[in-house]
Amino acid sequence: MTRQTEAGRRRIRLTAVAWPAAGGLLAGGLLSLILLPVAGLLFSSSPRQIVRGLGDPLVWPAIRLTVLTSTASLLLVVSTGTPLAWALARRPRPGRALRLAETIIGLPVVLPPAVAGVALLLAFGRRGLLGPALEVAGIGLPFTKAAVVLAQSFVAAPFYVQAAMAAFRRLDPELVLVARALGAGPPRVFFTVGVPLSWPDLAGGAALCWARALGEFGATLMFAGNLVGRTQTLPLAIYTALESDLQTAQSLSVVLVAVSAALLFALRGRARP
Amino acid sequence: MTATPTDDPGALEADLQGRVGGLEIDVALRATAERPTVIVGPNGAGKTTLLLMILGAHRPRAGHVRRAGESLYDAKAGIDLPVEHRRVGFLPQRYALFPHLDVRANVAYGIRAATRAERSRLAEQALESLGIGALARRRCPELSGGEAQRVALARALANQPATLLLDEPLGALDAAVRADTRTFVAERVRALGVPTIIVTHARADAAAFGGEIIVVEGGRVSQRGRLEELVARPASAFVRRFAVEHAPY
Repeated sequence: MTRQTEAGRRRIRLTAVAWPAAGGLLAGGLLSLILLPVAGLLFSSSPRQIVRGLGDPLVWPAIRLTVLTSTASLLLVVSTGTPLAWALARRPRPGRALRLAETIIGLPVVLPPAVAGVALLLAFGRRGLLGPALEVAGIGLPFTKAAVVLAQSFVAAPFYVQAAMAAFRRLDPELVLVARALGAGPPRVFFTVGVPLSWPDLAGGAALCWARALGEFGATLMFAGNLVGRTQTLPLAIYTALESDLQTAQSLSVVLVAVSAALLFALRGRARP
Repeated sequence: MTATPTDDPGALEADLQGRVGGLEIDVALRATAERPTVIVGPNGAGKTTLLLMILGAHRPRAGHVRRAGESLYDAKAGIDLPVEHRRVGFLPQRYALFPHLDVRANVAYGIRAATRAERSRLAEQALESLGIGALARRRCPELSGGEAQRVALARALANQPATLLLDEPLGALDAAVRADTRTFVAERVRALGVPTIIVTHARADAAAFGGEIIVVEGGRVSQRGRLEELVARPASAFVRRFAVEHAPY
């Protein structure tokens, strides 16, 4: 080090300054890309204008419907997804069937929502795969609240199932074995060991799943339509309002941002150390 | 086999063949209620795997596990009772106490009683009988190694198992508490009076539990007999180190 040249020292000084500066600039750029639109939502109107925007007749039916359908979706996903995740996580040997199941579960995450909408129509629509059977049973799914729930569950399920699977895989297999040796059959092991020990991660996955269901737009629009009070959820109401009244669109967006940010904040608070 | 199959109707008989993780296991053993059977052997010899096969957590390829004339596993007859129906108590090396339950709830987990209150009462009784009643309301992650060991033993005993499997019951303890705990476990196991199999690393454990010692090397029995017999005629380099030179392995 004593033989270091002046040029070498200058290069080191330059790196010491330039490298963090470049990193800061790039990172700051990404943060502002996310932050600026949120700031635009929150600060381009006064609070009073935002509250007034909530007086539009579109607003309350959309909020009511969104709370109802996203909660129903969450219940549907948790009640079916928890046993599925448990069964997949407890397979002793990972094999091709398991990989296939995992791929199927992850599919909705990478599918464009519009594709999900078309797919749902082609499965449950009048001319879809199950269309004739559903018609015989007197069930018409498209353009109903049930369709909204199906669309939301389709796109949101992976977020919960994947979190639940990861949680169940982290479970110490010795705890399960000891529980069984103490006489606990599979259901008791699931309810008294599996679920309680995975609870924080299950709650985190459920919150993500709910947030995704709240914001579902594309698949709902195509499969359930945009009928006020029946299938028009908050994101669809924002889309509709945008065409006539930017203020209402903004007010509804602020509501969604507030709810989503609160969910995210709660998630961070509960995250594992 | 050194033991004769007539002396104890409650004995556990196992004759198991199977392959787990590249190791071929082929072991026959018999455990009676009078003296625990002690399994020793080098690391990776298949000792824990053998316990897991008796417990029902690993399925062997062939053989049988019988207790008091009842088949827990029988490859030929197609019998393979699930773990929860075998009434085999299992104490794993790291105890595996349920971290989300307090000590009393851990012990109550395996107790069959009509009401929750009755289970709790019996759990407290079980803790008292092992002299650790004071721990009842403690959280498991706060326990010391010796305390956790006793709680795990209390939990296994409270379930009234018909067979007991202990995997390195003293292996995770400091030398200071090991001697005390060894005497304690040996007394309790004797008092329980069911066929018991203990896997251990330490000659002192084998001496304290006092039954037949089965040496397992490479998935097979290389020698069996009482400690004195092993000392007098060690059949392998491992047995010589274990029994004669007292070397820890």
